Amino acid sequence: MLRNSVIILICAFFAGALRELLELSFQSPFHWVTLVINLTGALLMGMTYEYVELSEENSGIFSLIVGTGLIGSFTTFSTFISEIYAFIRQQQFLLALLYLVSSTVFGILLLISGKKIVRVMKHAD
Amino acid sequence: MLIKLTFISALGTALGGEARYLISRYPHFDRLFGFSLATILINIIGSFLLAIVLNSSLSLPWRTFFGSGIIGGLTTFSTFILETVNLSTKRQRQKALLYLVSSVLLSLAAFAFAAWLMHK
Repeated sequence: MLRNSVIILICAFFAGALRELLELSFQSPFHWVTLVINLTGALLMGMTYEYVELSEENSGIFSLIVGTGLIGSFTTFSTFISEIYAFIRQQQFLLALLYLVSSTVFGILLLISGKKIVRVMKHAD
Repeated sequence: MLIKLTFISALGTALGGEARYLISRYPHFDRLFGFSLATILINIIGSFLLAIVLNSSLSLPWRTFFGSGIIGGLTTFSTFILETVNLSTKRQRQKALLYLVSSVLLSLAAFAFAAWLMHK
């Protein structure tokens, strides 16, 4: 329990550092940095989830480190919401919708692709 | 400044990520509606809190610590998408759509409400 908490602290630290470094380095009016972060995270989360599902030995620790700790902390929902809100406040409704739909639809497609990639790789073993 | 803010955000994310982990372990969230309520609650509350931070008079380092750090690490996009996909593959398409739409709309409403509170 304590060990798991320490693992999460360390993983979240590095994931947060990477997210902030990317956000600060590539600021732009259309918030594509957050979009890229969240879509990358969705793909990796699909791969991680399927890897854990298909693995025969207990991979709870892998799920904790990579899924909850690294990817879970790297992606962010609150910034995504604040950026949609900012578009709405600027009356850029089309951009708000585009940003919302591309995040969620591509997020879902990439996550499913991530699962498929791992399934194919496992079968090729 | 870049390195300083990155470090500050990393410290906050460590705490936010820890909070997310501990909340998502709370077992009672699991059985209520047939899917875990932890992530959707975390994301709605996180959106509310972020609007308070962004509309406050806090200095940039503190905004970074609370906003992209603690709240950024607390909320999660990848688990939100994972739970949506898992619901839809369990032949619960309607639940998946409901989960997706209510996550976004309730979080947006929470964000707007907090922003309104801060400017009242």
